[in-house]
Order: sequence, then structure tokens, then C-alpha cells
Amino acid sequence: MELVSFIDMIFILLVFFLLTNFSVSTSMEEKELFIPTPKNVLGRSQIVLQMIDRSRVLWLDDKASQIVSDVEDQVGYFSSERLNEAIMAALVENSTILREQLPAQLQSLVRQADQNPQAVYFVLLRVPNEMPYYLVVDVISTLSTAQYQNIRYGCVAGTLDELKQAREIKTVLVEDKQGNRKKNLRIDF
Amino acid sequence: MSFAKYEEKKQLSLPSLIDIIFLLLVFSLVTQPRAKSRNDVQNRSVSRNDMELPVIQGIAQSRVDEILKTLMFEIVFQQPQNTQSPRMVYALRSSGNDSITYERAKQQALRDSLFAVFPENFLSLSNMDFEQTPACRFIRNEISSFKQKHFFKPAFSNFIEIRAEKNVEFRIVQYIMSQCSAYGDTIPRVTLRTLSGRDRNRGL
Repeated sequence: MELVSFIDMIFILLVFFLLTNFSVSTSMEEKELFIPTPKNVLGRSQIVLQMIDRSRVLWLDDKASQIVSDVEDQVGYFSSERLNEAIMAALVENSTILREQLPAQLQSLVRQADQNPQAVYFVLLRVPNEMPYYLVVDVISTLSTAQYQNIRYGCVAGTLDELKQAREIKTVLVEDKQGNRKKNLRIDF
Repeated sequence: MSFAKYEEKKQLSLPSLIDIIFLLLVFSLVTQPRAKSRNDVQNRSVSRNDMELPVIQGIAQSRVDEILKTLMFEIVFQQPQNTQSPRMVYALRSSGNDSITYERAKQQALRDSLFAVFPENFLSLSNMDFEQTPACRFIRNEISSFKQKHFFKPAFSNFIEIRAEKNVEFRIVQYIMSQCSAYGDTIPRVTLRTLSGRDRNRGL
């Protein structure tokens, strides 16, 4: 038996099945993704995602409160403008993630939501106007996979500069229903 | 005495022949356009324009029917595949009790000029100027008109659809959402059309 031809045949078979498998698996169908319409009211969210650009996202969660609290302790004597600048600088430095890391972070949130079905999470997504909307779809499609549908989400237009120009960014002490007190981050636009 | 030379008859080399057959098969797979399956045609007849919709992974969202259930805004580039060309928005109206397919609604939109073009500099416009563009006024009027005819009271089942090229800027999508939210709970949500893999569990 001609060994070379036999090996040729094996490789050809391999390429053939790879190609056919690729052709079958890429078939897609059109589907609907529901998004709630935004409401222009004061609100709370557990997580604020600010898209900075196509490669970076500012992820503000409960850890952000500690960062802001630390800055307030260090330079609380600054004027409000300078204090806001210092706070935003610290937040951008410590809470910015790359877009490649975002799916893993979102999956971690979804897992957390699945482990706590009684809890309701709200994620606010702020997106600059010029961003392609498929970036929003990527985030929302992940959040919508929560098993108990206990992640609420909303998206609004907004830029990092608007955050930086917020009138006030500070931590406030909030008491929950169980009487536990914790620091929340408050941003006043 | 000379002996006749005995030459072995050359036989057809089977592995080489199979090689050639598979090479031809691979060549035809790569060069010929893939023939659509019946299911593909049924599911993608609404996307005959072959728009580049956002692709999502993971759990399937609702599958779409050919019949338009509500008002749909389709946002495309004026020149397909040219992301530098102006954005156009079409209003595809559903017809309440009668069933109308996407194709027919699109034909009606073209026939009745139910479309508008965003200015090229729409991203640099202030919010007020952006809202005064003909395209935004068109969107506003379409939503208002559709809401008056079909959404009489707040209901979770009221929604507007958006079908847009994946690279369309968020500003346009967000404007449509904000116009819907102006009616409060009467239009509580919008749907975005996306592409997703088939549900294997459904045996499709």
C-alpha cells in the first residue's frame, strides 16, 4: 500500500470534515433581545458600567465605595472640585478593566446572582453616543442569562467626562432593611 | 532464446483516486456558495438584506417570526457595507390584526417613503439639534402615531423593535429608546434583533 497516498487521504478527510463542520456550526438565526426603556428618575444601582472607549470599561461596584472613602480620608480637605478630580482619578486607576476582561466579570456577576435568587441586582450601563451599539448588546445578552432573571439592567447615554464633571461624588452611609449600615457611592450629576 | 519482457500491468492507484475525489469535494465546498437549508430560508427570509446584526452567544433569546408583531425601526447604512455612508432609518409598520411580513412591510416603507436619513455630522450635534433632525422627527412621529393606534394602555406586551447594523452608533438606538420611555409604562421595552446560534435542544 502506498503510505504517502494513505497519509494524504487521511489529511484530506480531516480537512473535509473540518470544513463541513464549520459550515454547519456557523448557521445562525435571528432572535430578539428585550431591553427595558430608560426612566429619567433618580435611581440606585449595584453596578455602574461606564464605557470609556472600545477597549476600556469603568466598573463601579461596592469596592468603589472603599476607594472613594480612602481618597476622602486622605485629601478630604480639598475643595469639592479638586476632591472630585482626585476621586475620579483614583476610580479610573483602580476600577478600569479591559473590554476583554468584561465577559468574565459579567459571568462572575451572573454566577453571584444565580447563587442568591432572592437578591435583585441592578446594572446601569452608560455608553458614549459614538459607540457601536453591539457593545451594549454584548453586555446585556450576558446579563440576561441569569437563571432567576434577577439582574435588572438599563442603558443610558453618558461619557466618562460627564462622570468627571459630576457635581458630587462621595460615599454616604445607608441602612438596609436588616439594619446593616454600609457605605454607598453617590454620584450627583 | 530471448524471453518476452513481462511488464506488470499498471493498475489504478486507489488512494490517489480517493485523494483526487476529496480534493474536488473540498474545492467545491469552498468555492460554491453554501446552499441554504429549508430552515435557514424560513428563519432568514426576514433578513434578506443580510444585514450584519450583533451576534450574541449563550442562551437563546426569543426566536423571531416572519410576521411583524409591532413597529420596527430598521437602521442601515445608505450604502451597504460602507460604514462611512449616512445612516438611514426605515419604519416598518405592522398592521394590528392583519399579519404582514417583514418583506411586505419593507416594500410598503419604500413605496410610501417611510424612511429618513441622519445627517453625516449627527454625532457632533447637541442633543437639541439632534432631536430636530428630520430623522429624529420621523422616529418621534412614527412612535407617536403607532402608540395612538395600537398601545391604548400600559402593558408589558407593548414594545417597539429595532433592527440595526451592528456598527450603528448607540446614539440612534438610545434616541428610539428614549422616545419610547417618554410614554412611561405604555411602551416599557424595546427589542433588539440579534443573531444567535441555533438551539440544539429544539432539534433545528
